[in-house]
Amino acid sequence: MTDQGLEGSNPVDLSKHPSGIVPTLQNIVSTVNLDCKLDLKAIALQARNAEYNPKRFAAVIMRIREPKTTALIFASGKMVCTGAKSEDFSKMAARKYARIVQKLGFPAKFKDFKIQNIVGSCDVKFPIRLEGLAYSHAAFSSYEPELFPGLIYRMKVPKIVLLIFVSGKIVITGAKMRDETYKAFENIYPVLSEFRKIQQ
Amino acid sequence: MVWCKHCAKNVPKIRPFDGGLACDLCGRILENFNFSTDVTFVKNAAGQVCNIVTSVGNSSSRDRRRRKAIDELRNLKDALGIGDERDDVVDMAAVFYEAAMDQNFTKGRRAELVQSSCLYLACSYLRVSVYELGSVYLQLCEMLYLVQNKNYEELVDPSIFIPRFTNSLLKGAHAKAKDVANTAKNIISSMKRDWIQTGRKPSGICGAAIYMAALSHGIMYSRADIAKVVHMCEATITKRLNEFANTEAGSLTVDELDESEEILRKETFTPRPNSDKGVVNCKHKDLKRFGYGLCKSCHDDFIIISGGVVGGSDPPAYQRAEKERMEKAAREENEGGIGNLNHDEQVNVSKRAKKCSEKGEGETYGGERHAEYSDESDICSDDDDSEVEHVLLGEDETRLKTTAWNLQNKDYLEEQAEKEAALKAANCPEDARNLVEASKAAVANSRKEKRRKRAEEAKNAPPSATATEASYTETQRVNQHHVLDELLDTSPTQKKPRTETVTEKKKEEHEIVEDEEDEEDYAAPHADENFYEDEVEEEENGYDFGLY
Repeated sequence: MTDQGLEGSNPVDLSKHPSGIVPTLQNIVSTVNLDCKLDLKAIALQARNAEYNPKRFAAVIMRIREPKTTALIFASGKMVCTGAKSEDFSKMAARKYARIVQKLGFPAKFKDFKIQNIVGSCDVKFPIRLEGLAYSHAAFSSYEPELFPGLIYRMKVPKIVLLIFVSGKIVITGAKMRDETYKAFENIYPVLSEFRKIQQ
Repeated sequence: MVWCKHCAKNVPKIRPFDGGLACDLCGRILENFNFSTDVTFVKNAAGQVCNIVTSVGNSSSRDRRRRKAIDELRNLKDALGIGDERDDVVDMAAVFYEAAMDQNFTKGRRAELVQSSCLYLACSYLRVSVYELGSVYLQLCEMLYLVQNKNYEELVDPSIFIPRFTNSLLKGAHAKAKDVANTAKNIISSMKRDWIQTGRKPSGICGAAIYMAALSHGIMYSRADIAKVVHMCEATITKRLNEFANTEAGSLTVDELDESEEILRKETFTPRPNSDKGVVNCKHKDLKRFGYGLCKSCHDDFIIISGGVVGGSDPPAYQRAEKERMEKAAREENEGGIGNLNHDEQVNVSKRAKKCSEKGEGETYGGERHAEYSDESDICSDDDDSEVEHVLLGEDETRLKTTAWNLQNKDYLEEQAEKEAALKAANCPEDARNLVEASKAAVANSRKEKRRKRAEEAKNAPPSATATEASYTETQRVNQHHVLDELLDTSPTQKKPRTETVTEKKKEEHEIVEDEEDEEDYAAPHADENFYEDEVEEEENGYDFGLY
């Protein structure tokens, strides 16, 4: 839907996306250091949106609605923020979590914010012969239908992992910057076109 | 008697030809060495004669491990029922295992898993199927590919499963097994051409093909029977059958299918995109590029393995995605047609806002950052405060949540309490030291109190008569203080000093507590001589306490 909206509403920047397809970011994982020791039980019992089960996992799980994200808050003051759809949303959400911790009485700061992983997805809209791609790019491909229905392509430059399915849907993961995701897709698109199903 | 791992019990032992220790029941080698019983004498540096023990039949660690691996591979082959005459499988698996040992692949991994993976690799390579072993198998394939420059894409061919499954299924109908296998092979080839096979488990494809082939040759089996042999769910087999029914080949008869397979196999045609340009991608760098970035021989292998990219139906997953796209487009058209109503206008407004936000994400990075920066300041100032404020719980809510949390985590709290108790027990020596110090302090306090009481009595006590002293002594024996109090009211006497001396001696024999009670009732002497004796008594008492 996003791709169709993009193509309909405004033209794609072909200098940046020669294929005409822009991958959609689906998930961003980021980390931040609040730089103070935290009492997880106090946080969990005073916050409405927090849950803490020390037998199961040694961190408080906190959620906010806008942007819709989930955070893991550890006693050491480290925090992991997941579920955002863009880099700025991830940072905004992390700031909100830090502010909540401040309001609970801890001297929380906001240090060393870093994007750790970006997951993108898109649809090339043609079938792909995975056996042929695995044969031709054996050094980078791992296709084992007994274990997983997609082909796992480990690109070297940029260092990105792509999951390629016969339906034409692609998952791009392992990026730390948005441009890496776009670059990886532009690199793989000519290869996918080569193994595209040809109507007879 | 000795323990045999294979038999899982104690068994009688045997040493054939004075070699390794073996199990008398299953024949497994239990110990691969033997110590000689002959007596041998050697002179050492000091000139003394001593006895040495020598090992018989010892060999290098590598050869021993290889022999052990071959035995394990043969046991695996027998356990899987691959066949008594398939030693070639064990030989090939041993070759794979040797290559794995050369690459140190066996370090850090269970030997059984590596041996099983080697056997699986050999079976797949020799068209004998067993079950895959996950990541160890994948790593072994990847490693052996790098070492031996072989391509193992054939391992994903579903036809490798046909002999095993047909043998398991058609035990009593061997006359038709060959026909069923051939028809199943043709069906799989058709599935490959129609893109049903790509991205699917080979065993599932093979199960569906065998089911159709068996039915077409008059052998009635239910899907449950197929599912049991193939180890796939019935629903999966049903899906494959439905997908095949939707293709053109699904409407052919068995004879027509056989004929069309032969025709199509001869008429294979593949265009050569980007031919004669650039450098080949395969390892034959000096050869000319033929197609798909491959030289001619690799290109031919590519066509055989992948089935080419021409013709056939669309893959089922792609068809589902296309259907979803068309349904979505149709829904959008319908929604666009109802724009006149106010309610729908609001819906369109919200959708337009949503599209604007999505468009914002699609813009260039710089532009998006600028837009997000503006949004960030607004949201942080307004929405941030409201949501952050809303997150905090009130006092009553906190109390309720605390109660619920303590109930849910009762086990965790009990564990924490037990840990603290354990820590407390570990600190026992400190408690002992504290106890000693406390007792010392108590003794010091007691000593001070005694001195203070004695000084007060010296000042306030009146003189006593001899009769009083006698009564005091008598009361001391029977320990009746109320009688003593009454008698203390009588007048004093002059014989007090001698009686006092006797009383003091008896006092020394009593315990501290009784001494304290006596002090309260004791009448101090009045003369200077008596006062001097009191000082001596105090010193003696202090010395006794020190000893005590």
